[in-house]
Amino acid sequence: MNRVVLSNISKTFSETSVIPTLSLSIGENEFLSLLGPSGCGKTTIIRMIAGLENPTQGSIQIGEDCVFDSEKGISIPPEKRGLGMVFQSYALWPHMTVLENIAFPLKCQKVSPSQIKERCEKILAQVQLGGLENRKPNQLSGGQQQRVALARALVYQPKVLLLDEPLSNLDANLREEMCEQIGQIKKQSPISMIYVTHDQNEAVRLSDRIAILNKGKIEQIGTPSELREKPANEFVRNFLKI
Amino acid sequence: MLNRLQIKLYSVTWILVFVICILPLLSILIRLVPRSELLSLLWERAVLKSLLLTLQIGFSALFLALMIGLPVSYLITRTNIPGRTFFQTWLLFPYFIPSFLFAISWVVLALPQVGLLNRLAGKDWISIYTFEGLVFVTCNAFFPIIVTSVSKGLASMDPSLEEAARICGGTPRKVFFKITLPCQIPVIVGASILFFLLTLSSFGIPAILGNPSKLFVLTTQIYTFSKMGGLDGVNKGFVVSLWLMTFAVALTTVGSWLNRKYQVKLTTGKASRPSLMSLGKWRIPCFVLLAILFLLFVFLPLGALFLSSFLKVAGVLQLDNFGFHNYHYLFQMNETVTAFGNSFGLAFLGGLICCGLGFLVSYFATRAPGRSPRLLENAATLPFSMPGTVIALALIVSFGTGWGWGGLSIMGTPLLLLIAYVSKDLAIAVQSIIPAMGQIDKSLEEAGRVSGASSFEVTNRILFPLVFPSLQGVFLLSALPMISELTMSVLLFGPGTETLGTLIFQLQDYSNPLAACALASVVVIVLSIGMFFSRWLSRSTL
Repeated sequence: MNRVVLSNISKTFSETSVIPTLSLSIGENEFLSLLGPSGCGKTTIIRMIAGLENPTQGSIQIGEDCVFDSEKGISIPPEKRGLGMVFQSYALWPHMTVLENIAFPLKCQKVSPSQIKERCEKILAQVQLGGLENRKPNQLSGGQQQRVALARALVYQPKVLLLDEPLSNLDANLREEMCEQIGQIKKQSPISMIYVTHDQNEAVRLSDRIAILNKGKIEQIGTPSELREKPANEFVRNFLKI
Repeated sequence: MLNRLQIKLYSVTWILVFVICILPLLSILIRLVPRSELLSLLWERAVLKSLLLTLQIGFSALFLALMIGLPVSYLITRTNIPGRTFFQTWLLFPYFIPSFLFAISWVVLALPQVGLLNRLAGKDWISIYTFEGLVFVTCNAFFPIIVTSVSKGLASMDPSLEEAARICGGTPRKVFFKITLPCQIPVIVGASILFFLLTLSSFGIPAILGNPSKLFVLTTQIYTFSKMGGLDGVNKGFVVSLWLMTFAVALTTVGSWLNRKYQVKLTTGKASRPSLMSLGKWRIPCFVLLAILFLLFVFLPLGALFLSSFLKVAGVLQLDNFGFHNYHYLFQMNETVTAFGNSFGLAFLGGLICCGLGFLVSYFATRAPGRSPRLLENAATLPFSMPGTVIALALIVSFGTGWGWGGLSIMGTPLLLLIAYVSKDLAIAVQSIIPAMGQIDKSLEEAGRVSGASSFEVTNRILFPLVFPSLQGVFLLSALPMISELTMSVLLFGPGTETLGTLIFQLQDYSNPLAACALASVVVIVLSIGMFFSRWLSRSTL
């Protein structure tokens, strides 16, 4: 079970309301994109799911577990939510090698060394990084760094993968390649993915459903073809340039 | 490409930098080569003993400063401790106060028998004239170096590095030890090297606290040699200064190598601030600890300084013992007026020269072609890492009576002090102006050229006005330390060229320690005003 359900979430940063009230649910093994202009609150939403920010109001459920509930005073810390996340800046630890970066989450889970080795090798092969285990992040190209970040987020088989504009720092060709790779992962592993982007092409290519956000509100949510065929309002029409 | 005017200016800049920053240090080596028999002094017992003591003090103070500085940095940048901004300002305050003033205040507090702390306790329980006392006061004066660098490092670290580790399953404790701390190692090592260099070069603290108990470090050993023994003594001083030079060069080389090798880019362009850790039930105990630290390192020494400046008899806290006696005494002396005139005059001139020369050096370092500009920058910043004692000796060798190149002697004149101050502080100017110039896009100047302005006009009417706001800050940053400079002045001053630093030192050492407190209090107030003014300036130009 890897559904994610946000119920009546709201978020205020020092009296400015970023998310007024929002409910959203991501189905099992679904790929959902949060698409919208910068500053629309999409990053805040996945940071709340990850546990890096707490909503002001509302509740969040991941699978069977309630990870946040403002009324019951529940707030599970990020390390206990069983998620994977890829950051826009990749957030690779500069003092560790590629292998150490990828092994870190497994070490946190106290996986045995032989298991760690096996699983790291497997994931490195999957993202085509074999042979670069002992490099430091600053010795890698942008695309390679991106793959390490992806491998690190997937190696412990999380229930849900959060991706925060993972392709925005790559040039057009690499972006294409990585899009492909993410599509592969989606096919191969049973995992729900929440993908934040401002690029509608990426969203349309990868998503099962897309939520279009504006000023913290969902303007429309639906499959890519639904959005194209029946845009709910002027904003959606303009944003998708239909 | 430089035009003819620029080439002329470039040459003038090189000559000035060479004479002020390089020639004196070269002179030491040149003078020593034909007298290599002197070198055996390097291994003499007394010299080795002071070398050992210098290193012991350096390492012990560094250890203490790290033990205090690292947790403090974390608490004031990353946690929700009450009074965060207060501590951020005031725990760093000792950084702006000349270190020897801390020696003076701790003498007031912990002199055997009559120190305030001993009087108040009613028994003779601490003495500052000990190895431990030296280490403690050194740490007191220099620990802000550690706190400033490390808290800057922590504040500019990309928060997603830690967030990623949390999401991967790391507990807060694990994230701190496996991610946060290792990422800061280059910063910590850099700050430690700087701290160690400062303790190595420190003169005032060991002179005031060490000499009475015969604890001689390298700098005070050199001072004793060159003050007592005439020409022979000065020779001995040179030899001993080789130790200081060696360590200074070695440490800065290691420092810049580490910096180049490990300077990993930890910051992102994205303006996300690291989240503050909630201390929970530890919030109040941590606050109490920092408050104690503030009392011990800032309030107590400065308070004691001000308090004693109003005492007629040292250590007696009775109402009829208070008065303006010391201030009267002070301002009746001719030396006081002279010292004020000299220090402020030299600081003003020195600050201006640092700005002007610093502007030229930075201009050519960022715009001249080839490798020579990089060399120019290194030459201009070299004396900064040299202990003041070494620079003073180097200047005596180059410009002093019986030594000077071509019989030129400016020993005992304000000019010599001016050269000393400029050579030491030029680096501060260069290192602040170069980044300021780097922020100005070249296209702004190119646009000026294309619109028909000559290169002089472009510099004068586009570049200079853009850099000017930061020059104001640079002036204060380089001039403020000159007001109370002691280490070099004490070796270079003569009758009529007393400075505030040397006068305080003399009063403390020979004649009237309470008057020294009074003068020191005035200096602290002047420097505080200067510091807050420079902060205000930098805030309004941002």
